[in-house]
Amino acid sequence: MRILKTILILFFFSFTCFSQQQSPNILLIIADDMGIDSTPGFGINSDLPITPTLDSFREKGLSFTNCWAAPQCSPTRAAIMSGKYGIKTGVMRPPLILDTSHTSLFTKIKEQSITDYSMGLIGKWHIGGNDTSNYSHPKDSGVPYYEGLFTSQVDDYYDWTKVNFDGNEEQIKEYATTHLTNSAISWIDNQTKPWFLWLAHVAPHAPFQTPPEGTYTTVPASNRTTYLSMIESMDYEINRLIESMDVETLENTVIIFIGDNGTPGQANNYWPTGHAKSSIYEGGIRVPLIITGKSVERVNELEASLVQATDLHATILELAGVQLLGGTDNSLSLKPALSFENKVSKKINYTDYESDNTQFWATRNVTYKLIEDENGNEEFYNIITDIKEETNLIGSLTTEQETIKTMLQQEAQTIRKDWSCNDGIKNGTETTIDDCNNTCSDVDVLSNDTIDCCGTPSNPSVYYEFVEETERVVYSNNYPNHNFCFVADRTPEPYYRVYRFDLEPKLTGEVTSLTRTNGRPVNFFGIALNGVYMMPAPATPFIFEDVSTGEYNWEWVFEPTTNIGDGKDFVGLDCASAHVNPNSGYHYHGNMFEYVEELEQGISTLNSPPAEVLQVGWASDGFPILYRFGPDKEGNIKEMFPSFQLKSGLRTGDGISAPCGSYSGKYTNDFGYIAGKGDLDECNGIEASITLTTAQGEETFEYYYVVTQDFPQISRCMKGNFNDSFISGADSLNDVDADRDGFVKAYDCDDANANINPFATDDPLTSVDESCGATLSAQSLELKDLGYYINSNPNDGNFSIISTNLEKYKVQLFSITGQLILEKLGTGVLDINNITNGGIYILSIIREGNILGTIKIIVK
Amino acid sequence: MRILIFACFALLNITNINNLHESISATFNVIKRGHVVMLEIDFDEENFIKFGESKSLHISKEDFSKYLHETTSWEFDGKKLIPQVLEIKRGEHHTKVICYLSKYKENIKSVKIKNEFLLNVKSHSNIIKLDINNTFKDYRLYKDRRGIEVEFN
Repeated sequence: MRILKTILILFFFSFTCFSQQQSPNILLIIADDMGIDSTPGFGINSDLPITPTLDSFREKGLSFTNCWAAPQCSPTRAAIMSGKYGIKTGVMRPPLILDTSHTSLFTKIKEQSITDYSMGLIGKWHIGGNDTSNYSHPKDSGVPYYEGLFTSQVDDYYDWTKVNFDGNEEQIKEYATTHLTNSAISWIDNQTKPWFLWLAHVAPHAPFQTPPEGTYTTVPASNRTTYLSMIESMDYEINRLIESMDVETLENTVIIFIGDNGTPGQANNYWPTGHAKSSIYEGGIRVPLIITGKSVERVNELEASLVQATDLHATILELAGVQLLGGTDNSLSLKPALSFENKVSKKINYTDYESDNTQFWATRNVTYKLIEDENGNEEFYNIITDIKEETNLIGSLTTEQETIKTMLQQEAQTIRKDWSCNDGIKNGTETTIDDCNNTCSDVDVLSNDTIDCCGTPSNPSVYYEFVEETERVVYSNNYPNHNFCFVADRTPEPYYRVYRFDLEPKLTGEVTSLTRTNGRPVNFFGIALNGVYMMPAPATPFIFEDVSTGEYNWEWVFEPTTNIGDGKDFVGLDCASAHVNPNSGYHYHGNMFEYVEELEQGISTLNSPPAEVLQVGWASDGFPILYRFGPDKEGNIKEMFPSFQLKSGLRTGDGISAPCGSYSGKYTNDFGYIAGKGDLDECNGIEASITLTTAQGEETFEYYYVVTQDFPQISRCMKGNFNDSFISGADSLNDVDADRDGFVKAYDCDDANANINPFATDDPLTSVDESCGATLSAQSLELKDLGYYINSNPNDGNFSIISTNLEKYKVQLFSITGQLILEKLGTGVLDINNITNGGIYILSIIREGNILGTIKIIVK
Repeated sequence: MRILIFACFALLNITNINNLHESISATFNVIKRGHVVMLEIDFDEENFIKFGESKSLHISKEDFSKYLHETTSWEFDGKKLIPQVLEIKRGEHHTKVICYLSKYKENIKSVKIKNEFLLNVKSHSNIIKLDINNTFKDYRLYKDRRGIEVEFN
């Protein structure tokens, strides 16, 4: 017992160490009042500070060029802390207080991350008001370690009041940026586990004061230049912080740098007057955002997607290991964008603030920006061509612009009153990402029910097998020999095809899927011994039609064997887990219940292995298909179980372009293959020796497939040589069965007499070959059955032969007297022109020296 | 050659045949076969005879061609293609028409299709399947969406 305890302790210790080792440290650095026009590398303004540290962040990371914040500091900080826009928290201007009912980023990391993070906030708080009695606000908000500036700014960078860890005030004589950096260095140095530090510098906020000597380059001579020197000094201090970390710590740290709002008016030399900080113009809200370090695979790249400071909430949560569906509240996680392009799914950006008791808000798409306020004022700008927003387009909108304005207006209303259905985030009452119709909450009931038998066969069921060289050949009419049912008018009808497959199959080491890479079924799996083909994957496009283009999404298809909800209604499997496709016959999707019971009563419900296995068909690669039971590698007959499992959790689809809701088995993709879970491989087969008595006598195979009771029931792939005769789109025999004996003319030596066909017994008293003798394998298919057509016949002396085959072929045109008129060799289309004499001609089609057939051509 | 008969099932009981003919869709399969592009159309014969301006109770190449050309248009890389009806295969209720569209050219960049085939039939829709360029795409057209434009990258 003691040993077991030790092992368990060691196990948990190693697990904890492992998970913590994998969790990155997260350093969030917020600059105060630093707009995109004052940050190098963002393509705006040429009067910029010298910032080698931030430059290196950009060079080693990802820079977001279209990041919005709120126009003032408190709303932005509240948004990062809560993951919500100002309209949702009420913090739309300083110095409003972020109510602790809005769960903070710190609390979420503590409660939701699998990693036990050390967390601290050093620097400017300013989401707790200005009242000294509220100094417990950081602690009440879940921040375990806080020291810094509680209010909006320092009066003097060299003499300012700090609230320390104990909640007491402390007068600091050290330059604020230097002091906060020293605190951060000290705090990080003391950490022994993964950490998250929110470092909120007060620089370069006013008052504009010359920083300590040696920390800046630009000579402070004006508000602007002093402001730039303060940014340079902050850059210097950030470098000092980075340099203080040992290599291992730094390598495991992701660094996020952001400005909380735009450049203040006193230091602005780029935006029009009134368009800087505290305005909802780009000068007030467009801020630099750079993410670098651990987890960032996109190096020295610009990301132009629409993002928001609010998004840092979800980004940090995901970096800390919290699992989200897109994000949370108004916050979209940018973590996926750190590795891959085109991963920011937000199409409309939003921000808001309050000034003079009036709420303002802005929305934008890639090109246009709409500004609104509570009094109904509107401004509309093309911010690609007019980033300074000097030309208000309201009053002269084109139809397209009017449409976009309406769309932005509606989106703003939705965001302000509810939750966006276009933000890429599972929020509000959505059960998954942007599921505003709430269909994702529908509970799928897994029934496995099928439709009871309702009909009996009215045609013969034909499975006719013979051998040609190295191939087993099956002629069948794909008509069941058992009771069945149907939906709508899809009654089973004979569907004549010839299947060929390896007589002595071998594993190829490759897997051939029944579907294309996009999931569309394209191949049959096999043929049952009653001549009905097996096509387990649904072959009709029916889900998630794109509302704009009409294109179907084949990535997700209803799993027919589980018969869930609308899948059941549409797929409609009968008592043999089969149904009819228009024009392509009856076929099995699932466990073939009615058929196997016909073969061996009780086999489908048997609790113990039978004495002998039951072969139900041949796969398209030539390996046999057994029902439920088969020999293991030692030769013991047992029930064979598949190695698939229903996935757990929620599908990641949006419910519109891809399904959402819990994995239930409704879709084929709800199941995942887990090697070794059962007895069978991913193709529901097993490498084990089996000897069967077949039409060819006793045959031994080293691999076989199994139709199982559970998913996938019938395999969705093959491991031997797939034969093209099982391609679902391959043409059926273009022929009729005139005497309705199950054999079309090509396989029936007398299609006017139902007593004469390959299944008939020769009568020694007659001279008639009732069983069609040995001539039946030499098929006499029509040219069109072989893929050769004449366009057109009769004609005016000009016509074409169209071949749908890849091979070269030759045509010879003869007169009615047998004189060769012309011959042509080629592929595809062969044109015959200028036959001037009207009359009847004979056209021969020859391939590889063999005459495939002749046809009468009438020239008028 | 040895011929072996493995099984025979001749069950001739009469079943309850549902005689409904309603078809909610016709399929237009644009597919590369060998060196040519074919158009293979499956549709409900009775609907065509009732609503497709057929002059008789059997579909003729002439009637079908005329109706097909009136109700559909096919354009690959800006070039209009006229489907040539090669064969009409009749099933119990459904009919399949094989048409030649064009010689196959690698890397088709754009396809533009208009299709109002039987859209005068209530609830009818046309499924367009594009099986070219080594990819497969399919679309549903109905009374409010009568055409598609597909760009292949």
